Amino acid sequence: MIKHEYIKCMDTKELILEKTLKLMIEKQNSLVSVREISDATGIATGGIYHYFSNKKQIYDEIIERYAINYVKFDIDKLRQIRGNAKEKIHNAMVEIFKQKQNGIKIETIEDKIDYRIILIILTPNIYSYENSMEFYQGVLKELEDFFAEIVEEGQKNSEIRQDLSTEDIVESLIIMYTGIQYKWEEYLIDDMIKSFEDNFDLEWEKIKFRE
Amino acid sequence: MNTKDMILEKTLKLILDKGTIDISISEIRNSTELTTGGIYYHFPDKSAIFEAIVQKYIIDYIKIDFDKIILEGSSREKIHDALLYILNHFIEGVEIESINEKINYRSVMHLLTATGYAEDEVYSIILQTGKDIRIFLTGLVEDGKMQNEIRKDFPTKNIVESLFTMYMGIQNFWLTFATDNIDAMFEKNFDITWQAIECQ
Repeated sequence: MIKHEYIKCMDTKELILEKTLKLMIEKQNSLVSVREISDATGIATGGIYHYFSNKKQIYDEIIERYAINYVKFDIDKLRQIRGNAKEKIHNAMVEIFKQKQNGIKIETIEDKIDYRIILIILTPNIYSYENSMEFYQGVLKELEDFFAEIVEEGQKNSEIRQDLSTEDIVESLIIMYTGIQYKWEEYLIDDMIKSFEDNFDLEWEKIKFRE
Repeated sequence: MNTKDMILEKTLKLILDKGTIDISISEIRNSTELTTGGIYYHFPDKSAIFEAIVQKYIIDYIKIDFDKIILEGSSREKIHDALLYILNHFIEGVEIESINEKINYRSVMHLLTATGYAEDEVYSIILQTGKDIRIFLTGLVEDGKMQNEIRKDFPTKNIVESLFTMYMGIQNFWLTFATDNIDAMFEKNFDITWQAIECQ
């Protein structure tokens, strides 16, 4: 009953987006027809076109809302991490993986949805989504800048090796991150944090201060 | 080439050109110059075409032929050459004769995800390939330890995982950002990794 009430209050546009995503997840396929969306939402085709000019617009908004925005990190939270360079890098990485692993809450779907399911279903559309590359690059840049500050300070304090540029050390950290993320997405490993712990000692060995 | 293969290749070309699998039967009809009935004679529906494309072009492509990797020189060279071979295997893609171009792993990802990525066969091959790469690296790392080229105070498992993660990270980087200086990125990161694992 409560759930029903909630859906009634939900903005129709949002309802269309959530129901369409739910449909895609059920079908295991992102190719859905407007007829199917109409059946799932109980809204006439004309009603759907009142909110969206075409199907591509529905796809694009689903990507922005559930796939692209989920790639972002809560950088403010990462900035609150204290400690020496090693602790900061370690704890920031753990926090990043935690944020990624947590899943997405979608109101009309009872459970939290694993981000990977959304990614799998939407990937063909993400690649054709015009702004995706720009967006991913923006997120990456933000992450690089965040780690660059820590690494630079660590180099000054003789915690991190000085014979490599800050940029190269950040790149090494980012590659470790994208590698673990890829294992999670592609090989469906359950726990990125465990995989990170398995990697961290050697990663630190790569970048720690050398005489 | 028989009609069935022609349909597969032309459809693959459409997918690559459009950058999406949202392709209509009428588009397939136009590019193959067949009638709808002619297409449905070979495939019950559109998803059967996609599934056949996965079978024909993807499954073999994901598999790595480890016998083709030439291993010579020191452990450093062997590990370097093996990882580079595997990376290039994915980046360079496979040649498809009739459409006269290579398909790369990025396009492969479109197809996989669109046609039921989680399909048992594709998924188990992806999983097996990951295992095979690690088994292959384990042999090389253990060999390197025996030759006193690789430090012994880190477990082989962790060294392998570190190399594997580095390789996966670069491949994912390329997949997401279409970076063209992947070779330079690999060389630099391989050096840094090697410095961490070599015998002091």
